Amino acid sequence: MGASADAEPDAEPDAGDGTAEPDAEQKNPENVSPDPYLVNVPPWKIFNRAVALSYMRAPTPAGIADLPVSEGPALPTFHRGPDLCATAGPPNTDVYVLIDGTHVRTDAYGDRALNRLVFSGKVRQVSLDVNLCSDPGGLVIGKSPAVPGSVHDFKLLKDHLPDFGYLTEIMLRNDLPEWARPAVVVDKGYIGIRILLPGARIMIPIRRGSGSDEGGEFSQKDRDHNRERWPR
Amino acid sequence: MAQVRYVVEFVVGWIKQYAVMRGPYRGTPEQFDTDANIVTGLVNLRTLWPHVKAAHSDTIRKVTAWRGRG
Repeated sequence: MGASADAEPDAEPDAGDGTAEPDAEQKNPENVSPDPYLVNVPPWKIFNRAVALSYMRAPTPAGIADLPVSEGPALPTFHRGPDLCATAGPPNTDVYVLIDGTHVRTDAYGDRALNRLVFSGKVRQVSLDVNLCSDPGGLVIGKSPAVPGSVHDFKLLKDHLPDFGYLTEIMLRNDLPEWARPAVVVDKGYIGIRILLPGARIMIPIRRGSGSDEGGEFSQKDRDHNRERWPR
Repeated sequence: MAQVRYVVEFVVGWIKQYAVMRGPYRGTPEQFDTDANIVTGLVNLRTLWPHVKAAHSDTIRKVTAWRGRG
């Protein structure tokens, strides 16, 4: 008895003619025009496109432009990313992307020759290599396909550059001003990236000299150079 | 520069929290691409979750209403 008495009040709002029908029309996917920015786009790439559009400060469709910059969870000293939704103000020079690679260990194959192709001499194991591209807030905006671990990170970047998100397309557009193009922050594994991305803003540390005059440490000139590249 | 680059190292660490990305991976590279895309999306969702939760609080409340927590 108690259950039936509880069910009747729940059924009354559904039967109401004034509120139920407009909601049903709004939720009907046939009446809603498809968003051209979201059609045939993988879900994990929607965020990439939103970030890229925000970086360009281009007019974006409603809803996409409201996405804020990502903030990493549980990071007390997390670097605050740029204000992506800003429409006015001074040029933002803190727009950059970070690229790094990682190895994932795999099982050895039965073929010895195949294992030699997949074996990474750096990490000393049979592995797959993946490169990631993230924004300053920790949002992954690009990922390369998996390649054998013997492939160098820089070769992986060269071969699969379009997979590193829409920002890599923007950073190569010379028609945009410099502040609108994001910089690329990489480690020393990507030495030579200036040749790969001519015109792009690259931030890469200087390789430590091996000469005896430098003593295996940075010279004052290199320290000054690094400080100019990234003043902190 | 290291004060900036550590972010991507954290991202790699978040991805490695998932066992499929921690290895050893037993599958083809094509399957690994699919799995890595899923894991990357989960990490992105986790990163954006406070904002997604704030933007779609009504929807989340409706979906989770059956649990009786509103």
